Formats: sequence, C-alpha cells, structure tokens
Amino acid sequence: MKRQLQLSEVIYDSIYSMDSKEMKDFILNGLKENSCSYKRFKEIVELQFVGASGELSETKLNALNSKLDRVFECEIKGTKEYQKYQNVNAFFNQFKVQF
Amino acid sequence: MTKVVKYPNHKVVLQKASIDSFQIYIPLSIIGRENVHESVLFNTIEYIEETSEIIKEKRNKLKVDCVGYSIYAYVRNKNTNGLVQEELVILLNAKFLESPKYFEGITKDNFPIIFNQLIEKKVLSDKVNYAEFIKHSSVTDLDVKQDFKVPSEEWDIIRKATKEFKRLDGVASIPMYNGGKGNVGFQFNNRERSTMYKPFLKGYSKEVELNTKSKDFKDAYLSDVDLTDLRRIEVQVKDKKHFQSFGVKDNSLETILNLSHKELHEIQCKIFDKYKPISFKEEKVKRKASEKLDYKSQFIYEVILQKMASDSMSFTTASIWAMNVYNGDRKQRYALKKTLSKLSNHYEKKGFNILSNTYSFASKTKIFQYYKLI
Repeated sequence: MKRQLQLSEVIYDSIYSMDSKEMKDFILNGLKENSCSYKRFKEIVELQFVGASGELSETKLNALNSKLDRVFECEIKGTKEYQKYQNVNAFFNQFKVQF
Repeated sequence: MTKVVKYPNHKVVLQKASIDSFQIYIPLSIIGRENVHESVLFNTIEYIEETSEIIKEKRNKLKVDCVGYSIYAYVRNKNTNGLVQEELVILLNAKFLESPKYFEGITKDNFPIIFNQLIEKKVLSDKVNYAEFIKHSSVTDLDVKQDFKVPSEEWDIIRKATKEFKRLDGVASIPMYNGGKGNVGFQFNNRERSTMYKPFLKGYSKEVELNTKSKDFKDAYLSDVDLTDLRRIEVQVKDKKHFQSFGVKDNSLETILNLSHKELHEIQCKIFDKYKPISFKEEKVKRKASEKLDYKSQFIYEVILQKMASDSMSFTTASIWAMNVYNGDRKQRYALKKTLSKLSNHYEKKGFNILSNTYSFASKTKIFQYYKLI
C-alpha cells in the first residue's frame, strides 16, 4: 500500500527524531537564521504545521515542544551563545517589540 | 530602568529617551522684526535685466557655521484663515549645547543654553524675551533619541531582526540604512517622506557617526567620551496632529519641553509599534487564510505529493508527469500549468521553509532522501 504523505508529518518526524546534539544545532541555527528569541523560534516551528498541508495534532505539538524545551534548557539557555539573544530580547522589550 | 554609565570626566546617560532636535516657529510680531538677524528679512530676486521681469523670488536663509555644526534659520509666511503672518523658523539641535550635555538631549533645564547660543550667534538679539519665546514658539519635526551600548554581535542580530519587521497590512517598506563608512543600521521611511502613518524610525551607530560625519563636533566637545559600541535609536514626530495622536495636547515649545523621559519613550514605543512584526496569533490567522487551497488545487496537490512519494520524484518532475498524462484541451492544459506553478510556490513555502531556514543542508538532504522528496 502506498504511504500517504503529509508534509506536516514529514517535518514533525524530521525534527522529533533528532538526537539532542542535532536538536541543539537545529535550535541554534534557527535562532541565527531567523534572528529571533527562542520563544519566537518555537512559534516559527509551530507555524510550519498551520495551513493546507495538514495540521499537526495537539498531542504531537506538545511532545515536540517538550523535547525542544528540554534541549533548550539543558544545552542552550545558560550559554554565552544564548546570552546575546537575551540581550537583544531585552533591547526590543524596551520598545514593547516581540523579538 | 535608567542606567548611568560613568566615564572619567562626565556621564553619558543611556537608555533614557530625550529630544535630539526640532524645528521651531515663532511669529515675528512676538519677537519683533528688529530682533532677528537682518539677513533673513530680505528676499533674493532673480530677474531678466532687459525687461525687469521677475523669474524667481525667494526668502534668504541664514546659515551660521559653528564648530562641528551649523545653525539654520529663515522666515516664512504662515497663512491662517486668510491671515498672513511672518514666522521665524529655526532648526535646533542638541549640538547647540557644545559639551557632553549633548547626550542629555534638549531639556527644559538646558534650554536656556540653547537660547543663549541663538543670541550669541546673533540669530536673535538679546532683547528677545525668553519667557515669550518659550510661550509662543511651536514645534515640528521633533527627533526623539535614545542611546544604548550594544556590541556589534548583538547589533547585527538587531539589524537582521528588523528586516522581518512588517505589519499585517504590509505598510512598512524596509530599506536597510547604511550611513557609509561602516555605519550599518536600520531605517523605516525617511525624514522627508514620513507621515504619522508611516513615521521615520532609524537605528545606527552613534560611535561611527561621531567619528566620521560629526568628527569636528566630537573632537571639539566629546574628546574624552568613550563612544565604544554607542548606538542610537531615533524617531520623528512630524507635526501637531502627529503629537496629538500620542496624547500630547499641542505642539507648543512649552508643552514639548515639559514632556518627561517616560512620555518621550512612549512615543518611541508607539512608533516602533507601526513597524513591529506581526504577532504569532495574527500570523497564524493570516497563514490559514492565505494557504487555503480551493478544492481543485487541493486535489491536484495531493496527487502530486503521492506521485512524489511513490515514484521518488521531485515536485518539478511530478509536475511534468502531470502535464504529460493530462488529456485536456489547450485551454485546460494551460489552466493546469498555472495551477501547478501556484502549487510549486505553495510547496516550497510549506515543505521547505522551516528546513531551509533552520536546518543544515546535510541533514535536510538526509530527511528528504528518506522521504524520497528529492
């Protein structure tokens, strides 16, 4: 039987199946490429599951977010690399702009 | 929070919104024609000598060159309900303070210094009454600034982030400001074209600007200031209507000088608000609406995706396959071609967006190979 293909599932699987090193790189690349905070990055990820290619279930989305959060908390949050994003976030917050 | 950074001989106040410059208008009837620099009272006339026919008549403008800056003044006719009144127009700048006070911006406390400069440089005579001057002057083109110390690495992130700034209705154009000589920043609209709906907003390196464009001023008055990583955010309020849109009652000089740092900062926030990126919630709604395919396109899209998966085809190859197997007439084939082209954009946006933006090429290739998408 031919496999049904849904892009949202492809994207979900590709992210969810990463090991923590891959996921760390994925987050850091995401922050760099999109010039955004981690909060915004998660929104960008979630936006990939919105639209005509099939929405992701709430359960899967929560599971993905938890995994991303875990890697972020353990591997990224306290690092010098992330400090600059926090500083930029503080800069934009002063002007009530989401970064 | 206000952060004061102390340097050996003075203080530079950071993170406090203040006034950098503005234009003032004061009726000559208040200060007296005899109390302004006489050059602004004359007109220059261009005429044909033989016939004495006047080609052009324009007001003289006064330019007083000072160390590192200039003072500009001229007289204009203001027509209010048919009543014509002459007004003296002066462009005032915090540089008039001629000291590290420049960073404090123009305030009601240091305005006497600025007023005295106008007298000293003979733009006004010393017979002009200070209180009358404050009371009867009105303000336009107010520049509100705020200074920050931001290292280059963080400034680069800020600049890049502002590229994404756009409102849902797409009002903002986003030219990247490059002041030359390495002064990179960001800018929305420009001073001349800005309106209250599309206001002027700029972020740039004050350090580079003072070391290049304003070097004479810096050398004369700010030589012992540590300018490292100094950045400036500047916004402009155009006119009375624009002031009122921020809840400022009018544009009299008295009112403007009495604006607190907090009120000036609020103005900056509201101007930023015009250009800030759309929220996640708004974006979600927009994406849902824009990505909704009609049922025919949705069906074709599904067929293409299944073909890609079953036969390991790229989107382009699957589209060529669709064109080959479709037996419609010329008009119908053209319609299919158009739909496929639309879907190609949709696929690229949907299928590759997140991965192309945030995932390394090698890993991306691995994923797409696994799913036979390339």
